[in-house]
Amino acid sequence: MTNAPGWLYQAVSFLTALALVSAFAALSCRTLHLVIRAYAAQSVLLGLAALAVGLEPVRWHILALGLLTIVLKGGAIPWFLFKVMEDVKIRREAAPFIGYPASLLGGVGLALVSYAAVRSVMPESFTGRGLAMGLTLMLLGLWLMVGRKKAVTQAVGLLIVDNGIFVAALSTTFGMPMIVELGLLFDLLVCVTVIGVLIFRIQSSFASINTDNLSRLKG
Amino acid sequence: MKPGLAAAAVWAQPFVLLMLAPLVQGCVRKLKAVLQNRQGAGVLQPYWDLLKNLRKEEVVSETASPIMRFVPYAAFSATFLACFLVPVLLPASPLGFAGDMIALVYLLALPRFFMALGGLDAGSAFGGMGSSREMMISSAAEPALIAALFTAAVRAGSTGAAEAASAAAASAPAALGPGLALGFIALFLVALAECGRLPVDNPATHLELTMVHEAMILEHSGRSLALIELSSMLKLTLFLTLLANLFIPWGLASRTDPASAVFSAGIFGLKLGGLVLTLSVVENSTAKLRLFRVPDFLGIAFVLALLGLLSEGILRLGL
Repeated sequence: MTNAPGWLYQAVSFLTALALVSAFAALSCRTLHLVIRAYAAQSVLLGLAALAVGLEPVRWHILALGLLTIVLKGGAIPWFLFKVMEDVKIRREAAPFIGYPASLLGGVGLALVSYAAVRSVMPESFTGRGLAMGLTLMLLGLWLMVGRKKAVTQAVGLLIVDNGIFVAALSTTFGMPMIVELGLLFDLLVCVTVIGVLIFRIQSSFASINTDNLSRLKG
Repeated sequence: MKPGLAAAAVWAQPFVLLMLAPLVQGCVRKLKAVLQNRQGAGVLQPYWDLLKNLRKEEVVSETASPIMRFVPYAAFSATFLACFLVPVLLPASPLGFAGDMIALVYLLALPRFFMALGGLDAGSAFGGMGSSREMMISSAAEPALIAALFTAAVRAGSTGAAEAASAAAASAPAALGPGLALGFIALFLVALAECGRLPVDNPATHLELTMVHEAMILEHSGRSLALIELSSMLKLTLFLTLLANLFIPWGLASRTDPASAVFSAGIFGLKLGGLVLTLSVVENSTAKLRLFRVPDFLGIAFVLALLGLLSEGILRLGL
């Protein structure tokens, strides 16, 4: 990526910045469908960014990874989550732990913290910016998980954390070895399936998917 | 080129905006009508409305103080003065030496202040309700507006509107960064709130419970009403001009002379047309927000502007 043409560089920067904005979109949306859509958009944007990174010089495993990201994270996983949503018939995050304006402003604060932290150990470069952005996405995902009650939103938070790891790996090492990436994607699919089943079980025991109900199970 | 002619071209810019403002309003209304399968009034209708109101007798409430008569003049002159700080076709503004974009923000706040006073002054219940709502919206919109304008200012290293616009135009293809896009979206959302457009306030309704801007100016009539309407049209055009020149960095003339003004007028017209189309599509495809959701809406605009500002200046978001 160091001697890539300017427009390609610009495209990568634009796509990843939009991916960061879609993490903020997931933080600001009230309806669960929109949260899942924001995740899907983020995954597609990151997949496109990976395609652009792998274009010059041509790295086939990054191109394959970009395509897989778009198909699996942008298509299959959101589709599965939509299916789960259809069956549990719950649409809105009614009373989150952290309010919407507060969680947005907190998210901006987290972005500042992670950029400042990475800046203090790494010079301003492609790798440094990528690591800072990966860290920001991980923190935003965690922020989404602790701020909301619904199991679906928390699952999306976990998936955003995974996208953060993807960005960090892409920018520091130009993608991990193919077998590791495939393993990660497969893990993610299994994880989402398990979360889907879990959401069903929570729904059938409590007629709600608020995870704070789970604390009632303590003996 | 004679310097006198160039100065004349620079000073002509705010008057171009003034002439254009009712046309912009007419185009938005016509496009909205067409999108709703209505025929709609012609695009020149706002001019005739203004002329009709200017000729009509003015009726002022008996309980009103002299402030009521003073409000339309104050509102119009502050809005028109704000136009003198903005580059339209040339990379210079007539009073750019005297005030920057911060002055612009507060010149736009001044009409709201006076209109809110006017709303309270007339002694009708609607006026006070409209004033309090308008003040709530404007206090939430102001930080977002300043942050969005600073996104453009950081690149130029100057808070002057003309400097920011010419810096954006000079670095046109390389300027297409995330900061520009985020600043554009944030300023567009703020413009919807500031000009009383649809997700925040419906400009076409006089329904008691929903109107904001219209409730405030309900007691004005005749010449006062014409001036207030003209200043709100001018405000919309001013916001669209800011969007076109600061965040769509093409077509602003690079030199200050009338010949390049004619060239950039064509591109400015295209950009303005595109923005008018976007505005009418957005207005047609959204429902009005509940009043207490408006701060959330403007909070999103503020966060977007803040992210744009950070990515432009401090952080460089993205890879």
